[in-house]
This record gives sequence, structure tokens and C-alpha cells, in this order.
Amino acid sequence: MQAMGPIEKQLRRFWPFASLALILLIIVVVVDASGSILMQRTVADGLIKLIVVVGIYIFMGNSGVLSFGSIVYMMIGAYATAWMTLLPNLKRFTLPGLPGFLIEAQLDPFVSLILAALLAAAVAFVLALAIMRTNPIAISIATFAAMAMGYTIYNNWERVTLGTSSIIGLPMYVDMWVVFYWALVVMAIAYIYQISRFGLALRASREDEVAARAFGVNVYIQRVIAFTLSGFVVGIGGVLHGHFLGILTVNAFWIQLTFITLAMLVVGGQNSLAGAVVGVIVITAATEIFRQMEKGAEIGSTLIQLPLGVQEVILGVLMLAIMIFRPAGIMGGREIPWPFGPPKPIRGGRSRTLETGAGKARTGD
Amino acid sequence: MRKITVLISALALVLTLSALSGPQKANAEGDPIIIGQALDFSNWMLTYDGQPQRAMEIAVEDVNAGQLIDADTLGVPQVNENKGVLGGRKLEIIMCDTKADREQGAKCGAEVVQGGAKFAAFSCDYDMGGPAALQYAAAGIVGVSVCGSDPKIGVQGIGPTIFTMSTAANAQGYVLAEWGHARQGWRRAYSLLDNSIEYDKSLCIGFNERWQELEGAELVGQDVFKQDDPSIAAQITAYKEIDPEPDVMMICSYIPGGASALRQIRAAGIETPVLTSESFAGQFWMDSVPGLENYYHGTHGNVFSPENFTPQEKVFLERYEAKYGEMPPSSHVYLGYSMVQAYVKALEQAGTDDPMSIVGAMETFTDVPLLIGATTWTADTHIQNRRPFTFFEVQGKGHLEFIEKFRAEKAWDISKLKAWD
Amino acid sequence: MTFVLQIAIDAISLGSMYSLTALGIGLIFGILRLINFAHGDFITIGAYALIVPAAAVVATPFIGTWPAFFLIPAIISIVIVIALLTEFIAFRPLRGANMASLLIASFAVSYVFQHIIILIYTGRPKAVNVGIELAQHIEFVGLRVPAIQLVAIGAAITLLGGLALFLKRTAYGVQMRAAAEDFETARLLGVRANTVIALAFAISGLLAAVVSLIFITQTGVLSFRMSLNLVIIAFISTVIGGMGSLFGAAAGGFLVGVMSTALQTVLPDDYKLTRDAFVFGFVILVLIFRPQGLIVTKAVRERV
Repeated sequence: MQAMGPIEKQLRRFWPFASLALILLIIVVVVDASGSILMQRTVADGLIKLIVVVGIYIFMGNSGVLSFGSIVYMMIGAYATAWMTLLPNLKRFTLPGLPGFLIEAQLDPFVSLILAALLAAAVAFVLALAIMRTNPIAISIATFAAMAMGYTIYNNWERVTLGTSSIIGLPMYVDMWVVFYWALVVMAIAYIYQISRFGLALRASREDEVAARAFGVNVYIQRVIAFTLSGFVVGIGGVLHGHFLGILTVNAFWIQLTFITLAMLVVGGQNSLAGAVVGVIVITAATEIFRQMEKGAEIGSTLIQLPLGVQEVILGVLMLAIMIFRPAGIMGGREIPWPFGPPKPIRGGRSRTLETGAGKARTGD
Repeated sequence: MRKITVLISALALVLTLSALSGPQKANAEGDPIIIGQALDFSNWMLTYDGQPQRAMEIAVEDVNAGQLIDADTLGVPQVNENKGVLGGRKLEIIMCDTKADREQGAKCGAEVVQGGAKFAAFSCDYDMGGPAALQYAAAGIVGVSVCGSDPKIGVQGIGPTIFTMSTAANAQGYVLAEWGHARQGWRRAYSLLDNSIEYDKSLCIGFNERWQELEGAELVGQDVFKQDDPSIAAQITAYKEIDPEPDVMMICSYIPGGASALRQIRAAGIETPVLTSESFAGQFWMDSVPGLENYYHGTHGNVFSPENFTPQEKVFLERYEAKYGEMPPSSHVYLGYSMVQAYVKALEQAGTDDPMSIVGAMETFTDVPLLIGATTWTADTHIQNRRPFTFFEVQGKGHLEFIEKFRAEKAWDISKLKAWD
Repeated sequence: MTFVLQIAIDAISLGSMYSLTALGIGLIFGILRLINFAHGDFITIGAYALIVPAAAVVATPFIGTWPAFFLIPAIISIVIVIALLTEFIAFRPLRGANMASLLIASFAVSYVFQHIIILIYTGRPKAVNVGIELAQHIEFVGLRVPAIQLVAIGAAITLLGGLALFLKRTAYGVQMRAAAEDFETARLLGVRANTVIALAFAISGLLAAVVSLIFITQTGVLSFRMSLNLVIIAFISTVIGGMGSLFGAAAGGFLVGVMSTALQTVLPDDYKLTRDAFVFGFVILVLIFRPQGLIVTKAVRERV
């Protein structure tokens, strides 16, 4: 075989990202061509979850520490964008507790998205500074406690979040293509981070914390960086969620959503970006297929119809089965490999690092 | 890895196929008029959506068979004998299961719009029904909540084509306060608020506000709890400190938490009369509070006391029982039938199914006697603010006993919505 | 004074429920590092077992009509069987999986349970009247308290005492403590993992059944999500008390019960319902400054 040209080298390097982007592109183009508004909404909804899941992955996948409370950053992002994009007239009456400059603000959706995600990142950063020194289990639980705290506060902060009521009036500019572009951006962020110095250092600590420390990795700082970036990306997901539905309720950002997003990540395989993406695709597709079957789907000449309400039971059992038969998730911690020829170790062994972690899950018995 | 590629392609294929098989309907004259339902058919919201949903089906069958109970003939059981509307066009329901999920709700909203509906129902609650309602509003079709009581459903909150069949929670507070004051002679009230949903808050705000305007009435205390608190012992301890005991305890909550609170209150030996609103709908929960006495309940209508049925109610309940083999558990069922009655009346009035014309027709409704009772909509109030409520009591027999229908003197003014904080 | 005493009893009885739930969760967490969200569904199932499985609006009591002498063992057996089945079907194949996989598995189990309940009983809340005599108030050292509060406190003390004796005095108990404190080492020393874990699930089932009965006597209403909040609070309690320490879990439950009641009494009306935020904030502080928990056993201190 010939020596790799520089273009092929870059292609190979970014293939794990490019391949996922390609898969999403195919799905989006096909669904767009179908003209079904419904499918487009399903895919857009799935892609928003994908952004959130990739956000969670940035911390959880690279650090190996379970983040049990990421949905709160979605909530923060979603509410922040509401504060910045609702009509000032509406805010004056409904959200009088907001500071004056926010009440008068009516920002461009893009600017608002970035600022909202930055707010989510800032909150994540402050929490991370406080908790990332303790042990991994304590960190997981602290992220959860922080989420529960944020949830309780937003649920009772009437003058700023409308408390238990819903905020309506967010500009609904988000459609499938908008989410798709952001999904690409977010996946690129996640991938560039994971092959960066920071990502590699954190991954090293995931495999062996003591050894990583010995090599001079400051695990605390690396975890703080990852958690902040994760908060930023999840925040983007929250912003898009808000502008997609046009309505926000604190109740939506709680156990159910935590469960479904974490399940997507873990089912796909929490240790690779491909795992995050595949998990979202599989669960979204499964949910949609079962839903169609509840409505009655004709396959060939036979009508398959599930009784109403059975969909959820099957979905739960399916997730459990995947956990049992593939404890490391569908992708088993691997990225999608370069399809043309065997992988050649790049100097520094980066591609190797990316592919470890698969065999880790089954210890014990 | 190849397996995964295959898997993904297979999924993509399935997605595509189900995308291509989506409903595509044109709407020409003579075609059925489609009514959409983005409601919960299988999850917990079914408790609220299920009854109105069934009633809508009955109403649509009635319209097509030329036996719709006529909206204009309160007092005499008459039917509208036209088969179909607008010169014989049939009504047809398309449904979509929201599964008490917001994203799914929005999808259902879009699906119903795509299916050709120009008039569609959405879930009872502002939070759960909102996503579908927003889709209706964006598409410019008429959306009606089957039983949402949040005044933000409507022009002020969601959009100019959005209505609800129900009475605003604040207005419910008004009618309860006036009734307790005028008919029971209560003067010293205490309110216990379950702070977990907006309905409860608006109800207590309405009650407290109206109560304090009434002559000689005084609000002697209030407290809060949370729907899923396993125990309200602390609130009970605080209540017992109030001396002398209040005349009435208004509980703004819903089942299950409300029933649980009531059980604990009665078990604590507190026998103060308790007043509740439609969210304590029905009597199915009364086993939780054995021997319940001094319990007063105001709600949309009467499904419990046959001797007090109106002729309309009687005919409807017979049809309901014939179709479903049981009696409805609460008067929310009337809301669904009334929705279709209202639509038919608006269609006949407007002479077209164009959504803006329908909205215009609905906004002229003034005390139209639908099955649920006198219904009024105006250009800025798409919710009821002074519909009569039916009052019941429970005195140790374990079931609701009809007292009377009562209408508040003062209508709740929707412009207060802007200053609710 | 009476008022304060009354509040103290409210606090301790709420604490008892949290404590019994926390113990069930803490036991499993200590051994498997599994945050068992399905524990709440054990409680829910115990309560639903009281009525005839049917979608009807008005529930027909089933086991709920039996005399206490049969009712209590019946509910306990049902919940224990459910707990053991869960362990056998869902968690046993996942031995050694990481914390995230276990958490998702428990979530999935919980999700399946809840939706099966909806399928069978519908999502509509149901009424069931069990032990109304216990819900009545009785005179007690000059106070009027619901008997169920005393029963809850009594049950907590009895079960905690019984569990402590079991853990200290029996061979299985010692094995279980060893497993809770350091599972891998305990296995190397010959502790039979599957037996000990099954036993732990059985005990957590027993605890869930007792909580279930206290809960339903107190509230009289069933709903498929009735235990979610309880489980979250109980989980937080185990963290405050100290993960892996059973005594810590129980004490944490009492502490959170006392905190909630005190906050409910002290906070002004508008802030009463933010009381949980204080509890959760407190947990974060505990995790930052004493990740081993407030109540520390010697072994735990060495390990964490």
C-alpha cells in the first residue's frame, strides 16, 4: 500500500465525525424529500435529543463519570433564550422579575442561542469547580442533586420562569434543517474536543486515573473543562427545544427526559461519539415504529396493531435487553472505522486511544 | 460494524416508508368535515381527556345520523335532524395519541393539521395541550381544549383561533366563594393550596380574591402543600392552631394528592366543611375518605343525580351508556359533546368551514345553551368566566348529592390575567 | 410546647418513612452500586396489590379486605417476589456492569413496571381504604397524633433493630455487611455473591412492602407515580447519611424528614415549597465537604 497522502490522513482522522454526519445527512435528505411534516418533526425532535445526548457524552463518555443531572442545563438554556427572545410587552406582564435589560431585550435567535448556551455553560462551570474534586460516584450524585435543586428553584421562581405554568411565545424558527446544522456543529465540537489534548487527557484518566495523574494530567481541571463544554452543548439543545415547541414548562426537564437521554447514550455505547449518535437513532426509530404499529401498520397484507400503551412496555424491555446483551452499548465504545483499508497507527497513537474502552464494561463475575 | 451499517440503513428505510405513507387528504365540497383530536389515549392524561373524547365520538355519530341534541332547545329534548352539516357533509374524527408527552403532542398537532382538520381538540391542560395548540394556532385552524381551565388558553396565551370549553380556574374560585358565602353562610375561610400545578394556584387566587370582596367574609389562613407529599402532618398541625376554627376549608388540589390530604385532615379529627372544585371530579376516590361528611363540591354539571338531569343530559347519558356500557365518572364528559354542538352551530351560522369564519361565529356566542350549560365567548375571552356551576354535598353516604345549580354574580375579568403575579 | 412536640412527632414519623425507604435503596446501592429507581415501583406495586387488577374507575378491594393478619404477609410476599424477579431477570445478567448501565437498567425496569400498571389499572388514580383506624388520631402523652405516625415510627425502630441484629449476629448478615462495604474483597473471601445479593433484594422488598402499607394507610390513594418523589428523597438521604453505610442511610432518612418538616414550618408561605431546594443544596454541600457522608463507619472512611 502507498503512503497516505495528507488529504487521506485528514479524512481518516475526521472520518468518525464525517461518517456520522453522512448518516444524518442521508436521513434528513430522505425525510425532507418525503414531504411528510410529521416525519420531519420526528426527525427534528430526534436531532434535538441527539444534541443533548452528544452534550452529555462530552462529559460522560470522555471522563467515564456518570452525569445524572445534565438536563438542568437544557432547562437553563431553554429559559434563557425565552428571556431574550420573547416580545418585551409579553415579558413586562408575565415575567416582571426579570432585570430591566432582559425585559427590553429582543435578540436575534442566533445571538440568543449562543448567550443562552453560555449561561448554561457558566452554571455548569461553577458547579464543576465545586464538585469535581470528589470521587466519581459523589460527582454523579452531586450533578443529580444540582439538577433537583435547579428544578425546584425554576418551579417556584414565578416572576422569572412563570413557575409551574408554561411560557408561550418563543419564536418557532426551528425546523429539521436548523436542528440538523446545529447537530453537525455539536458533533464537530464533540469530536474535535475528544481528539484534542484536553479530550485525550480526560480519556486517559477514564482508563486509569492514577496513571493519568502520574503522567501529569490534572484530572480536576480536565473534568471541569469537559463538564463546562457539556453544559454549553446541552444548553444549545435546550434552546432549540424551546424554539421548536414554542412552549416551555419546567416539568418537562425532569426524570423522564433524564432517563430517555441517558438511555440513548448508554444503549448506543457511552464511550464513543458514534455510540451517542447511534443510540439516539435506534431509540428514536424504535419509538416511532412502535407508535406506527399502535396506529396499525400494514406490512405486506397483514395489519399489525399493538394495543394502545404497549409501546412503552416494549421500549423499556428493549432497552433492558440491549443493556443485558451488549453492556457496553451497541457500538461498544468504537467509532465508525475507515472503510478503505486497515487502520494505520498515526503517530502518537491517537486512533488507538479512541478505540479503547470497549472491553472495560464487564468486570466482576 | 457491517451489521450496524445494515441496521442503520434498515432503519432509514423504515423511516422513509412510514414517511411516504403519511396521510394526504384534499378537502373539496361534499367531502367529510374533519375534526382532529390530539389527545392522550393511553397515558395518565387519559383520565382527563378520555371522557370528552368519547363524548365527541357520540356527538359526531349523532350529527351524521341526524340526531344531534340541539344546542338551542334547553328544557325540551329536541334534536337537529339534519344529517351532516353544510348541506349534508358528514363529520369525521381523526385521532392522534399524544401519550401525555409534549413533543408527541406537537407532532400530533401537526399530524391533525396535515390530516385536513380545520377544527381540532387538544388536551385538557395548558402545559400538556399547549404544544398541539400552538401547532393549530400556527396553521390557523380552530383549536379547542376539551377541559383546560387555564385562562391563558385563548387569545391572550396561545393565539386568536384557540378556545377552551371549560370555565377559567379563577372564575371557578369566584363561583365557589359566592356560593359558600351566599348559600352556606360561611364567613371565615381557610384555603389550602397544592402548589404543584397552575390550575390549583389560579383557583385559590380566584377564591381568595372574591372571598375577601364579599361582605363580612374574612380569609383567616392559608397554607401550601405539594401533590406528592406523602404526609401533610405539618400543615395539619398548623391548621389546628387557628382559633376559632374556620367555617370552611377550600382545598385547591386534584386527585390523588387532594384525596390524600382530605383523608389525613379528616383522620386528624378536623370536621370543618371542605369545599372543592372540578379537579376533585367525581366520587371514584371517596373510598379514600370513609364516612366523609361536610364535603361540598362545585363542578361543571351533574352526572350523578338522575332526578335532577336536564332533558338534554338525560338523552345524552342514555346514548353514552348504550355505547360504552357504563355511566361516565364525571361531568367532564359533557364538555366533549358540547364542543361538537358548538362547532355545528358555528358551521351553520358561518355557512362555511373556513376557520376564521368559525372563530367569528364562536365569538358571537352569548349564553348558548349547550349540553354543558350557558356558553359565552367574546373576542377577548375564549374561556367561560361565569357559567353556572352545579353544587353537590357528601354527608356520610359516600356519594355526591345534588344541591343546586348556581351562577356567580360577578364574572371574572380576563384583563386580570395580566397582573396575576 | 405541645406545638413543638407535635411538630417533632410529625418530623420523626415522616423521617421513619424516608428512613425505611432509604434503607432499601442504601442496601442495594452499597452492594451493587446500583441506584435502584425500581424500588419506588416495588412500593407502588405493594399498594396496587390491594385492589383487583382492573381498569374500572372505582377500585374493588381485593387483598385490601383481608384481616391484617393475612393482609400484611400477603403484601410483603408479593413485593419480595417482585423484587427477587427483578434482580433475577434484570440485574443478575448485569453483574459488574458500570454504574451508568445499572442506572439505565433500573430506569428501564421502573418504566416497564409503570406502564404495565397503566395498561392494567389505567393512569387514573384509585382509592383504597386500608387501616382507616390507624389513620385516626389518638391521645398520646397530651398530644393528638395519628396512630399511623406511631406505627411508622414503631415499624422503623423494629425493622432497623431487626436488621441490625441480622447483620451483626447471623452468618448471612456478616456476609452482607462485608459485601456492602467491599464487594470485590468479600467475594474473594468466599462470600457467595448471588445469594447475598438475592437476600439483599428480598430485604429491600420487605422494606418496600412495609413503606407501601404505611404510605397507603396514610394517603388512601393509588397512582402509578406515587413513589417517585419518595424514592428521590430517600436516595438523597442515603447520600447524606453515607453511601454504603446502612446505619447512615437510616439516619439520613430521619435527618431529611426532620429537615423537611422544620423547613415547612419555618419558611414563609411563598418559599415553603422551595424546601426541597434546601435539602438538595445540603446534599451538594455534604458531597463536597464530606463525600463519605455525615455518618461514617470506620470501614467506609477507609474505603472512600
